[in-house]
Amino acid sequence: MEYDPIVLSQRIRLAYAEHLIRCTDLPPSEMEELLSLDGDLDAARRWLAFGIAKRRYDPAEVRGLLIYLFSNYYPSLVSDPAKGELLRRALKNKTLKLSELTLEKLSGTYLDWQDVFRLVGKEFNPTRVKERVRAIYEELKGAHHER
Amino acid sequence: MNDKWFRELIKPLPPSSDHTHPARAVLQAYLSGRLPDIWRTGAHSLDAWTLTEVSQHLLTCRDCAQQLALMRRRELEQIALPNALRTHVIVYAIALAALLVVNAFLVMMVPTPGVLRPCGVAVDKTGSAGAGEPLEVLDSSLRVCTSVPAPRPPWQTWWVVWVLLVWTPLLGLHLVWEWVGRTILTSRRPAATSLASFVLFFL
Repeated sequence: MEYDPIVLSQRIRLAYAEHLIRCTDLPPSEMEELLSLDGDLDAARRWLAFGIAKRRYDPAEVRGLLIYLFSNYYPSLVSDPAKGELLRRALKNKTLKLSELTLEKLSGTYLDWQDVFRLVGKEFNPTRVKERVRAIYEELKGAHHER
Repeated sequence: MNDKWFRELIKPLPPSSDHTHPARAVLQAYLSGRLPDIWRTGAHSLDAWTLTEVSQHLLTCRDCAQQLALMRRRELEQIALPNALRTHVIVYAIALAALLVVNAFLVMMVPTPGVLRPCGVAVDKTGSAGAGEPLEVLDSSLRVCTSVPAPRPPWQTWWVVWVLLVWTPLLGLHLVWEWVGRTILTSRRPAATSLASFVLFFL
């Protein structure tokens, strides 16, 4: 297990994102310190923005955005074409449970928005969700400067 | 909206120097969603991996990731093989039925070939011209050499049976070919590609 504070913080932030997807996340107020163990407040605020947006708006939309981001932007460590195939099959057969999703199961699967909508059970405007997350991040940043 | 801000957020974890690896049974439990899902960071006991710990380990450990990729591939093979076989057999049965119809159509529409009988000579058996003496027949129609139908045996007419006999082993060999080439499990492959593959194999 890594004990390098930077890597540990990175792991914690990714774990938080994963728990946001599975809806097993702790309240943002409890996560604030844990997410910035390495002193990277900016990174901590970005992830907190997701947590706050999930509680302030529709959780399914924020979960959907996270699923899309990890599926498309987190590369798979090894070539694993069966991963995406199994994921899409489970999606098609409606046997995929959000409570079993992990970053590893999503990484490198390149789900499109239609897959994401099917997974979270609703269609939404991704741009609006992104704007909301960004707005909360700006709020958090502004609040920090005011202190 | 520009995704740069979000892309920057997702930084892949560096390769791990962790020497503790989850057992195969843990990976199996991970795949089937039977691992505990609790918040825990830092050290873990060897026999109790959480969902997030296994996920993060797999994102940083190439050997374990490869092992899991192999397990997934086997799982996919188990799921996909019956479907692939069923599709192949259905397509083959449809093709054979179409050929049977063509064959039946040709049997009905193409006239049976005829053979010319040698010109016969009428023999008077009534005794008017002497027993056994040839009789000169005035009716010219009896002198025309006639063509009589000569039906072919079924094994020549119903050639679809030969198609069945030749195609069946070829289909089997094609399935083996695809199985060895690992293309049979690509469920997203269009039917036309599979058909083209079969035609190529047939040729």
